[in-house]
Amino acid sequence: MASAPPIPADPRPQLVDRCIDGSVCTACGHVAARRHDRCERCLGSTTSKSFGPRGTVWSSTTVHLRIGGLAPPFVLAYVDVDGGPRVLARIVDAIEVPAGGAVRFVGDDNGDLLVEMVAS
Amino acid sequence: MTDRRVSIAGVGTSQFGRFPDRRVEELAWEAIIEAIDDSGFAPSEIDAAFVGSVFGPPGLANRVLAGAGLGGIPTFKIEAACASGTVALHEAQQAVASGRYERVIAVGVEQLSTQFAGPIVPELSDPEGRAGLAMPALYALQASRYVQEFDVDPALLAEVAVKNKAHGALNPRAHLSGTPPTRAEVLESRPIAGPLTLLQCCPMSDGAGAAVITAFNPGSKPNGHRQVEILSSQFSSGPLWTSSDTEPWGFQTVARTAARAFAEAGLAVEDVDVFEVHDAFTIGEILTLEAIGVAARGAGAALAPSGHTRLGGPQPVNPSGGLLSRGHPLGSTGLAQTAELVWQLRGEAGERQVAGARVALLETMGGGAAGVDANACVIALLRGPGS
Repeated sequence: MASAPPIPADPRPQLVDRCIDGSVCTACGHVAARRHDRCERCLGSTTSKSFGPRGTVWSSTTVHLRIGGLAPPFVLAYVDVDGGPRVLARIVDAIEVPAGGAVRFVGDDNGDLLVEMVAS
Repeated sequence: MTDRRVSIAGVGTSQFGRFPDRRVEELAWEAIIEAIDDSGFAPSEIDAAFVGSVFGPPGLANRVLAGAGLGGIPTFKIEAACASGTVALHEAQQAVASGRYERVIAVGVEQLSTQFAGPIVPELSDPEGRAGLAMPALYALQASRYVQEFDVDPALLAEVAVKNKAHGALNPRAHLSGTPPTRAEVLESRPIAGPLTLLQCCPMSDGAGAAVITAFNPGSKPNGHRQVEILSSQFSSGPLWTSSDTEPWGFQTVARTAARAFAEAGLAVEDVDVFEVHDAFTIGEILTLEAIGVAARGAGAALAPSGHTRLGGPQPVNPSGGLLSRGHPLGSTGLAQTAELVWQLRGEAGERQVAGARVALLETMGGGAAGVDANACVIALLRGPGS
């Protein structure tokens, strides 16, 4: 019996020491949540750069649907990493953080970025 | 501009609903046959086809056309998320305007019931899809930001569903055409992704739409009715959406596309009598109307409760019931919107007719690709023949 095909390569941003392992363009200054050899905006050259561990919530939502292995309720947020990119993260303990609230990366869950609320 | 003026000579749609026991081709044939009959042309007079669909399946466009008297013509398959059918319409319009073809059919078709048991499964090759960002949550992030940024009562979002479902109750082709819910019923329906509840989300639907596009001839009455002119049609894809963007994803792309469409037509938003816009979720209609300029930033949520966008109001939005009632078979939506506006402009919309509608705006914005402002947005302005 044939086995299932492999799942696609992991496209999510990755943490190193609780910071996003990203890159910045030496030409236009664009910050990216992944390492890119060439800037995703202008194709300029880039250098690797670490962003975080703190950021600000742009928006968050409590999701009441089961999505793959994620059991509801869970909270997803767009987080503007300090000086860095906007990334999608999950807030630990399913706590909604208002827009503008401060968070920090605490690790990942099978590759999903995890943040927790911090007192600002 | 040396481009030719372009018109919609005929439109058609299938019934919208859940039809897992029907062949997906049959849905498209229902729409195509109605559109061709409506246009008065013979299938042999159609030169090319643009077919929008997101989930296909592969080969669908050719099977659809070969079974509807349209085999052998150049066939272009388009995937542009929720705007797939609208991009097909835009490409058909461009093809006729430039003189590449004389008569083109735009088709949109989708059968979601045989693709998904529940909501659309997020795409694992997408960074945000891999992290569990389902479509309702993507829009809920817009909604959550909106109610906080502008201090809007989340209950106002429900008013969009109340309005559009009241419109949909008048549309015999809509997926959800029963008794419309009250605001309390919308708010008390199952929570999906805060602040959106189940009745603020479009249903998972099957269906198809089609339109026959040809050069505009004001005197021509191909099948007893005069043509609807496409005054302008603009298509944009979104640039990167980054931490320096203060507006929600999609907003700037819709605003830019709308500005170009109004400029091309020489019209302003006040000139529009009726709109069909992308209300896959209630927040979508609100943000779209702000981006187009019907309301200022933060004021869009007041449009439905004020009656401005209801049937009978000054600028009715989604008289068909919108995606919230008609359903949202992704690729077909743009052509279903087109059909509704053509019927409105020809005075054939029955109980949901907008009295005296002369100018109509069509908008579809598809999103979902991580880090991108929008996958695609099309906005077209249409003018009816008048009385």
